[in-house]
Amino acid sequence: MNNGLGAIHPIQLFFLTYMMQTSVAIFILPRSISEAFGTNSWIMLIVLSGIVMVNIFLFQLVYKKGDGMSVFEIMNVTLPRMITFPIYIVFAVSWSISASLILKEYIYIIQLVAFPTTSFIYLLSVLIIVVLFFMQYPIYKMIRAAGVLFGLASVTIILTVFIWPDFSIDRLTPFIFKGTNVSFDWLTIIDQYRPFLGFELCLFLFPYVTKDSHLFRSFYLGNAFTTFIYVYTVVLCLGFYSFDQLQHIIYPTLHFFSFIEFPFLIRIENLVYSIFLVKALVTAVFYYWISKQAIQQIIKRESKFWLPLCIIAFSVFITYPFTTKQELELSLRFAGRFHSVLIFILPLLLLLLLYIQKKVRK
Amino acid sequence: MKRTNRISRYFHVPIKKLERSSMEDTNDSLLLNTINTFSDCDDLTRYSLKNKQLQFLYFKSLIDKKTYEQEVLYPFEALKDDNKTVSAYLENEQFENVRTSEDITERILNGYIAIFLNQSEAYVINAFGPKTRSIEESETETTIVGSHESFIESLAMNLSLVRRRVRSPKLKVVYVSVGEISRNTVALLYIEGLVDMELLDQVKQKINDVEVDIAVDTPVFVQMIDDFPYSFMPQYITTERPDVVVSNLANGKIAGIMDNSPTAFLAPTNFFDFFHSPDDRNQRWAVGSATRVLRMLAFFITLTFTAFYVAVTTFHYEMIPEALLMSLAESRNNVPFSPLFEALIMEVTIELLREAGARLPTKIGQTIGIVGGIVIGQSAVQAGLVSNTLIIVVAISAIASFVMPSYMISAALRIARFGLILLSGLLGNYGLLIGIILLLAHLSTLSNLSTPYFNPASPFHPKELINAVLRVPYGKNSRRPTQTRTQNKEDVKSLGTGEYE
Repeated sequence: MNNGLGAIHPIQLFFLTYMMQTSVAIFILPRSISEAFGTNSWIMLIVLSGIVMVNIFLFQLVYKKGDGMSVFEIMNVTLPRMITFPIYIVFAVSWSISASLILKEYIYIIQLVAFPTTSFIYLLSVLIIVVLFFMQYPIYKMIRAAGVLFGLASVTIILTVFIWPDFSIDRLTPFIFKGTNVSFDWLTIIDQYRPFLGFELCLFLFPYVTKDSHLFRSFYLGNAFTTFIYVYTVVLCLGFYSFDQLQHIIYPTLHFFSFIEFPFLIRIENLVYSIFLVKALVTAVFYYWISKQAIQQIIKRESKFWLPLCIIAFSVFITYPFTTKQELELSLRFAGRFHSVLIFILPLLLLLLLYIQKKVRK
Repeated sequence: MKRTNRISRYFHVPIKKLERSSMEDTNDSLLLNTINTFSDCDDLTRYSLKNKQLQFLYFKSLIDKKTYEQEVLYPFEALKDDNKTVSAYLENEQFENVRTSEDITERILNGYIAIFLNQSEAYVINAFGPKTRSIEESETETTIVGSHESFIESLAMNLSLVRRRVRSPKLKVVYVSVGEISRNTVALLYIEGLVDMELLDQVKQKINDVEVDIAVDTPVFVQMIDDFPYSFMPQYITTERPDVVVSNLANGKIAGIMDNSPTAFLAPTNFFDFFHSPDDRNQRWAVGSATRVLRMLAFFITLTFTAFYVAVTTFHYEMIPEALLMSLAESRNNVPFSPLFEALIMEVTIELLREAGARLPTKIGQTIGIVGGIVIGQSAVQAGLVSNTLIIVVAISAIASFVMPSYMISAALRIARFGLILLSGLLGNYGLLIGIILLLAHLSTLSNLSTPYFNPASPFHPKELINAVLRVPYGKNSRRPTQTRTQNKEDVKSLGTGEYE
């Protein structure tokens, strides 16, 4: 295995997948999935994870058919600028807005839990500085840092061990998908697909990986691990709260940590929400990075500081009106729907472009 | 001028094939030119024999008096006043004929005696042997069990301390010269077959690229070959212990020893190396492992304990259990300052005490303990300037920082601690986590000789990480670290040296 600095290792990509996928959505996941699919909704998580695997497989097909060409290269070769530029702008806008919404959602939660009197903008500005700090690094260093931050994020997984004594199997039910008023339609499924988003980064990493990086294997495994953690969290919440109670708690994942008590420390959720910062941060940083890559295709200029700053400022400006919980959740839901559809259509479009390229060459 | 060469018999000379000047000095001017070069060097000794037929030039401070008397002075005095006899004696192999004043100057500076015959011919003889202190125990890296030898300021002696431990021709030594004026010799040690030659070339290249007039000491010098000169973290581990050098050489690392410095550096270095002590290896594996875990714990305490206290007492009182909250509130009752300001007062005071203790002579240094412990500690609480609890917190953090075997890492972490305290005071746990994230991101993006500094945590090598955090029993950790890029990863018996961390 290459030990060089620029090499991206499979294990780093595995950690990255998990960090990208699990962001603030995990705070509400047990409630939202139970509201959507009813009892034992965790089964649906496995189904959704299967769809993610198919999505990654589509990315893999693009990689194979395009011989490792980047998304932008494939598009630039086949499509005229008049078409590619608007697409890149859509990429940049959508991912930067998603990143901004994730950051704002996170700030909203910490404000609710610990900083009710502190200014929202003050808290957000600090986070933006950290995002900018990360974006100064080249991609392989960002991935490496994300891998190390996984170690920090895993503390929350370890802390759930202290919940086990309060887990009761009596609170679980053998009924499947009962007790929900939400209609089972495509929109519901797409909405629940949102916690898995983040893996689309895979599509933009083609130029930075080598064979030794095992990009797709790492993303498959990373997604499997995320699914395991999601299922574990939902089952733990169901056994901790019961199905009915779960539907009435805003942030069930955060809430159950408040029951953990150490002789010298209680209300651990105060620490846990801070640790979740790493997940929100990593997701936002890489979403902004995708936006930056898209914009660079248009302006053809490398900028380490000003371009990321402009993108962040733009996204914060656009999402400025969204401040309440309802507004943030709604906007995140719409952004999620858009991305869920986009990342399914995008590889299909790219495969079509590659097919056209092949035909033209012949 | 940069020079590299293989080991030569003149081990204290910056190794190079001495370059001849394009035009050799005329014989008559040899002595004159040399003396002119050393004009105003009052410590240069000039001694004449046999009616100025023979003249010696040397630095008394650089030569060994016994060698001078036995090899030069007495034999020449005993010779007849006859050119032929003297010339014949100078044909002996300990004398070397040199033809340019540059060569002579170079040799004199390296502890040779220059012998001029009739002012026209010059010979040199190696008499290097300045006074050095004897081998003593290291004051900065003490161990309870095991070897107590440490390096001294003599490169020859330091090399002998390593060679005695690795009796193998595979131990190679390459000399590199640094300092345009000082021309210090740096000996790069490695074991053939274990070291990655590309890394060795990198070290040489880095040393050759150093542009400095005088390289004072190894800790100064290594900062000039850092990959990230603006980082606050030490990037090369330095040691005064030959046993540490040897065990790292066996891992495929490169050791650098500078002349006139009791400190060696090791490359490539990773973050976890700073937490290892020879005592871990000397103890049973369980004790060694427990000690290493304790050090990692100390690392977290040093960094975060005071900061966490500030975060909790400023923003998150609800995290403290009721019983503890009462006593904490009581102790903070009379304190007029915010927890951040209170913590900064105490942390700065501790740093002042530490620095004063380090600078003062040992006898006076004890007073600092009394002043710090009784006067500041007790009186500050009684005066209501700080709380009892904070004193305990700050003291634990300070003690934890002294647990680190490397003073360099301990000092760096203390600096980082101030940043975390400030962030915690401003933003509570959120700020603390931001600080930790920035620190981890910084550590994971650093490199040493183009190898990841945070290896084996990033890139993640689980088995090596276990070896770094624990001291597993001998025979169970036979693979050499990937960071060294050694081709010989498993063949631990090839050299027969003890431990492979």
